[in-house]
Amino acid sequence: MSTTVTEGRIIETARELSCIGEYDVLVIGGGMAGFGAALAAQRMGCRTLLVERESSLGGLATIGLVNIPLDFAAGISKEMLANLDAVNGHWHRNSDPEKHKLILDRMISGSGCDLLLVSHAVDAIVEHGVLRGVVIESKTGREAVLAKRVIDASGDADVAYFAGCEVMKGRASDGKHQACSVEFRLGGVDWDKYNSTELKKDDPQWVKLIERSVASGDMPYMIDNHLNWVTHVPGRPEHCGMDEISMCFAHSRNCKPLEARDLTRMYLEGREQSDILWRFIKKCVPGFERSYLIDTGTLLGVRESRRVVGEYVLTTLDFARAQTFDDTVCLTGHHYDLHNPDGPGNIKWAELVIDGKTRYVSTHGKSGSWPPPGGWDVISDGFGRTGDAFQRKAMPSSIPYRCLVPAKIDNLLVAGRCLSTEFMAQAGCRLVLTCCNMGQAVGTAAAISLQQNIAPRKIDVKELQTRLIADGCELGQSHFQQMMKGRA
Amino acid sequence: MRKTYVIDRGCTLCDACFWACPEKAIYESGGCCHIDQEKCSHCGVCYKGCASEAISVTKAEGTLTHKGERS
Repeated sequence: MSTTVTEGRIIETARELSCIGEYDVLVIGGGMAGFGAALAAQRMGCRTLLVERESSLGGLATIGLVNIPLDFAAGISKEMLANLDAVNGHWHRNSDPEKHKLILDRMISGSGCDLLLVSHAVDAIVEHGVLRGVVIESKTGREAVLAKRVIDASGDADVAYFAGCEVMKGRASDGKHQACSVEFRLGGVDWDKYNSTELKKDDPQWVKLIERSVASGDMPYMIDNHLNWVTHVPGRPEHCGMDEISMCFAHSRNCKPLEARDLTRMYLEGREQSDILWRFIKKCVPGFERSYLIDTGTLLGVRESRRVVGEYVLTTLDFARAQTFDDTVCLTGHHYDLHNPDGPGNIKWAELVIDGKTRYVSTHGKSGSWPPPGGWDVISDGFGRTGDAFQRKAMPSSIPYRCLVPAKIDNLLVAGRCLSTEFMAQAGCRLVLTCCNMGQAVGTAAAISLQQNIAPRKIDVKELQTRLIADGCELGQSHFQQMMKGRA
Repeated sequence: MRKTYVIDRGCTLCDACFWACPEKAIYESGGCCHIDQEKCSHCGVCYKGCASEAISVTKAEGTLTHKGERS
């Protein structure tokens, strides 16, 4: 008996926890960021434990059916794609989520990294402002894991939050989070037929089809005003003669991704929407006449929840200007990719004040579902240039190491979507490969800090960068060399 | 014979080719980068710089060879 009712109050009794082990590096969260972090730390010689709350690794990239490993393929992420390639599990921009799970299992197990599935992090063990470990909970009950360094790759900055780190949540103006999505897979698709339609060629055709279908009743309500993405799952035609696709089309708005009640609402809504959307697509889209719904993602696509306050907060303007930093450890070529918090569509510009003037800033130009106030013509680049003077982001955006180091607690690093950024900057720093690359950076940083017996925030970042480059990571070195050669 | 470059495999939309291309011949469509063959100067910078080895090049006989398959 550990919980009692005393005078109408429910009291959890204090108890001593058993410790399942003491590690050099403990990684919480086995999504793409945690995978990269754990593998990097283990390969650097650290005794590492990776803890994942679900039954497989990969997070949204596997059980979330987000089978689009986008952004820079470098270091561990490049090796992972090569392994997927070798089993016909990666083609064009798409991966096979099932093969991906197995590749991740094999890479982690093969490295000697310890792995614990179906275990949640529920508390942080903090002593005098220093993180000593994490309390996990599983079928076994609550247990402690001690570690010299902890990497929070939970996506929601759970460990950082439990440890008392300052966190940011949602949009600055109203606290609203990005829309969450349930991905789904359809089988029995004639991909060649779909590919030959006008619909495949560009999004506006889908926009028009959706408008018509809502008006005619084929789609009961405007779930989204465009198709976010459709991917062709590789390898399938060899097996069943018809193609399989994944879609990002079912979305929940006004989300509270840190509350179980609202997560429940979103899972139910996402599955109902997937059924509605499949019926609409089967009826209205050429190539899908014989399609059937295979499954929906078992992990909800949460894009943004908590963001830790780090040694530096990457600003929305830094992102647009592709600001470079002395401590860059990761690049991203992505743009502001905000899924509308409270209405259909996406928003790919940010309202910022540049030189005293309000500007509607985009990195790539006139894209997204909604124009800014004043229409598309007011879109500006990160330097306030509009119209013909607008210039697309000239370089990839940089993620500095300081954005992965929480400001308050020692021995803790973060990677993945909970990095230290402003709201709109985060919207561009959350792709599958970006998260893996961030993970490799902090896993390597944790190992270096242990080798030198200093806090992660005090390591020599040049040494970290040198090691990351030696391990194949892209910090800009090959890109910029190539760019210079090309323009010489 | 001039070499022709085509993005036909494993594009991860990192835009490395876009930033590298001196001719601004790279554009995005249908969830993948493409090379505008009218603008392309066949310099091969995109091919060498592609982070995902997604670009194929024609050889003398016109057969496509994937970068990842050369070595």
